[in-house]
Amino acid sequence: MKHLTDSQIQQFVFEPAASDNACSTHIEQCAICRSKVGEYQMLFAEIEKLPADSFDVNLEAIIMKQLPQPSIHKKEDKMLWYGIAAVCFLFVISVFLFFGKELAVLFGGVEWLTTALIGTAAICLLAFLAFDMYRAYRVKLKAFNFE
Amino acid sequence: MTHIHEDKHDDQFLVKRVLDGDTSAFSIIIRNTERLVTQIIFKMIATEEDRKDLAQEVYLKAFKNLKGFQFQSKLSTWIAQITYNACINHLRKKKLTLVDNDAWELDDTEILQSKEHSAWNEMESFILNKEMIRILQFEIEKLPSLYKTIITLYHNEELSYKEITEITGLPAGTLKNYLFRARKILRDRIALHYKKEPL
Repeated sequence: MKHLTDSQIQQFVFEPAASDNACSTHIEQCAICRSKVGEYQMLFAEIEKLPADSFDVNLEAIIMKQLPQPSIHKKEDKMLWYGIAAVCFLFVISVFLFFGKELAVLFGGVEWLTTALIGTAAICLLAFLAFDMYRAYRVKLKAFNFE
Repeated sequence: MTHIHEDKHDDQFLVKRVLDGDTSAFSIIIRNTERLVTQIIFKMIATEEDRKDLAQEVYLKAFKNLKGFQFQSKLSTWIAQITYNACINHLRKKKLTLVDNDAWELDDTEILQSKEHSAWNEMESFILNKEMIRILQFEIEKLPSLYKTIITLYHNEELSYKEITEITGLPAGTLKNYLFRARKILRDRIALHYKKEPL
């Protein structure tokens, strides 16, 4: 009687769905092949019970310490810009509210084109100064290692 | 199938949290994958210090590249793949081989002897012996790194062929061939051991 190959026996044990009927019939009739099937079954049943390897240190804690901290600057930046915008808005409103009449008298005699030019220049200058201040602030933060 | 969908959903949720800046979600990812990563590292790397360094390297790499994870596989499979590649690179640096050709297999005489005396039908009593666990661990440890790894991934971690091929990058046919050979070597070695150490 021709015995099954080791591959056929392993397939019968570990992938029974892929094993053909001829193999199972042979195993039923052949004591030698049946004993090999038993050997593999017993051996790997024991292997599957072996305890899993593990580190003797808390890996999770070690790794978490090394991860970069979540960046909160974006959120901070947004809040800062919202604050500046709100202050500017309130300032403009209050100026018009309290000095509306004076402003009308002051700019009443000036042509609208001149007024527009002065206004645009003032806004641009303010924006440039504010941006420059903010850039200097970030450079100083970096120098102090706060980011 | 539902389980796979749930896994993917969990993966997406965790990855999104980490990418949104909640690094604490990464600790859940570590907890979920630590066992698999540990098994691969322990089977492929021999020295304790290198194992710890590699485990840290794997997770830091995973954290750094998380943005590029496309959810084409499970997150655990992706991290296992990073682990396997890190181990391969480490072995290459140390000029160590994964499978030392057939040097690990028993020669025919040894196998014949083990089979002549093979009292595998008495194996059951041997299995009951506590010593068996030690011998099994010893014999598994003696296998080439790749064989140890695939045996562990298939039999202990219960991963499918598809998952193991994704992790190792081996073609399915090669993986099956290696697995067959690893099991056979192990069986022959245990048989020989039993012959040498009568109960």
